[in-house]
Amino acid sequence: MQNFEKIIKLLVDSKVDFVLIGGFAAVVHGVSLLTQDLDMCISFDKENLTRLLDALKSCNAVHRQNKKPLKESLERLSQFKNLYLVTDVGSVDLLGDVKGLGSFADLLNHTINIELFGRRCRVLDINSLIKAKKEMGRPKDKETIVQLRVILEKLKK
Amino acid sequence: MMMRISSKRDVWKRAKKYGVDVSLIETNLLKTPTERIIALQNSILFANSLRKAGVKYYAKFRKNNKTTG
Repeated sequence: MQNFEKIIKLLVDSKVDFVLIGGFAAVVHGVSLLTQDLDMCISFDKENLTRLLDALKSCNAVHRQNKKPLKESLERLSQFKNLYLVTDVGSVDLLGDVKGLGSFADLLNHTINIELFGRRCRVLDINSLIKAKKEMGRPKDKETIVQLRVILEKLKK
Repeated sequence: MMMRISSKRDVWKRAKKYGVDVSLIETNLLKTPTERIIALQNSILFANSLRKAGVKYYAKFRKNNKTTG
């Protein structure tokens, strides 16, 4: 069962560097669409991966595609571009970069700091989220863009 | 100034075209980000309970089809 609160607290408390992106970030901004995905852009450097593994060690993380436990070495994991995981507290997609925007480091100037469940989290800002969604170009992204633009207009008032 | 009004009109026109319920967005904007995520989580729970109920309901038909077929 997806428990957003537990996942976010776990990662923030373990000092994992991440930016919330995708549909989840859209909901944080106020979009009314339903999403089950928790997408994050993370740094795949060894220090951050060490913190990530530390955060996930108590919640039985497995790879979503083959259900195999997350047992790769740091060396191996640092070569990954993305990680799609299922844990006891829900699924999480960890991406090394965002199409049209770049890597975790590139995203840092395009985030806002928001409080979620009593923790400070980096969330992709609305304009960058629109840019990323445009790059994806799927029907669901188009509706998200429409809603994000309405929110931008509302926030101008 | 004219551009600004035109752009706003376009945003609303597009939202209407997509069938976006702007009042839902307005309601969300009154909530904190945490409240928005809690509402999302509750919606997922509700959707999953509906899915389970549907599976249970249709399983009954599958069972009947097997016994009569």
